[in-house]
Amino acid sequence: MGRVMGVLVEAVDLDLANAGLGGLDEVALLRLFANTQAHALVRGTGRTLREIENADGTPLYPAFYRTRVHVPAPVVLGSHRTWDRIDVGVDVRRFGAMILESRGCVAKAGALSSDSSAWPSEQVVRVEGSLAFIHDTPSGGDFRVDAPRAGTIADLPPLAERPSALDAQRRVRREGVLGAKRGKISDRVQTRLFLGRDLQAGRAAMFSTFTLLLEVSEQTLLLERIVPAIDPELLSYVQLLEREVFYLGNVRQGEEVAVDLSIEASPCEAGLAAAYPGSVGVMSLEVRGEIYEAKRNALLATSHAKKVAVVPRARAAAIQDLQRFLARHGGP
Amino acid sequence: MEEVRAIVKSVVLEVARQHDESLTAVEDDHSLANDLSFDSLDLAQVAAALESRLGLDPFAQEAASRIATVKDLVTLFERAAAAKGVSK
Repeated sequence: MGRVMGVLVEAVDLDLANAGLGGLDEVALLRLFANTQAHALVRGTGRTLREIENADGTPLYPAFYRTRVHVPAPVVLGSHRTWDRIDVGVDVRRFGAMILESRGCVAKAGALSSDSSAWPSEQVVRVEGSLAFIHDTPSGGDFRVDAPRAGTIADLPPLAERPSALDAQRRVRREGVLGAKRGKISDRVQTRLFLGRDLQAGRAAMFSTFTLLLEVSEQTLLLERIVPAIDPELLSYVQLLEREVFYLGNVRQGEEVAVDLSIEASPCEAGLAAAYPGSVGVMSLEVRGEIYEAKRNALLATSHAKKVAVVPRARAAAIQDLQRFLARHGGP
Repeated sequence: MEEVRAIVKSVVLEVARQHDESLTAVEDDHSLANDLSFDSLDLAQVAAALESRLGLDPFAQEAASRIATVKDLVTLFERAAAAKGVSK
């Protein structure tokens, strides 16, 4: 099959640089997706992502305003282990000249063809991204968004419809995701941004950093802010099912963020509980989060995640510990 | 050219009404950001809608940072239409 513009499948070795000592996690997944997307965007132009520019020659880059990760049961992100080779497929389309929608798929090596309509919809990890080209440097105008000059990006196919993410982004900016009703487990976790861990000198935070901040804050809440706290070992049984993040602003080195979190724990529904072979699905978690720049209280990002705690049948004590946690902290 | 102007203004109004449903018209001297509360994604939506309606993509030749008012947009698309020989 010939090359389809906007579609790219890359074989990627999960190594220490992208998967650490264990296997794929959500942050690494987002970065791999963004890497392949970057390659798809400039394929055939002889340029790199850094060399996309507008009509004036001002550098542009594609900034996410939404990502959605979907890990359908019984798939577990970490089952893609360090030193495995995987396929990362991305299909990018444009809405006009400034907005992009991309969908990605991660599967075992050789599982994805260059025909994105044939990519499996179940049993694989999927990622969606909604993006706009924005100025890398202040342009002096009212708007940060702009269109790439002809020839600086690949000739992408147009979307058939207006992306629904545009309306969702507007709704989230207006209403947030927490609302008045908070889960039984809720609190604000404040943290400073650190060079190296969260961002690089002189740069704003990369989109995937917000997922890292959400994860760290969620663990802080479960391990330190509730009584009785969750046993740290039990956190290793919590698997991501899906997460949607909207990116509304950004932060830089030295700034502090405040993460408002609400966690609703409930018994795992029967279908989901039985989906993981050899394991027991004990508890579902619905986690909503809003990230603010602490000083200005400006909303930077929102997140809505669904997770499940899945324990091997042989770990009876862990199953009972989770059931006790649920009895104490479960419910809306 | 009158039709290009009318289409540009109707698309701007359509997007502006997502912020303020009571709007019934947009004027040439309206600032997109200050009077119509446009953000970056709004401008991108207008560009996409106009590309679809008029078959024109003038932002490949002119930076969006130069657009501030409704008139700037109208002028940009009228110029692109004239260059392409679009009579409507």
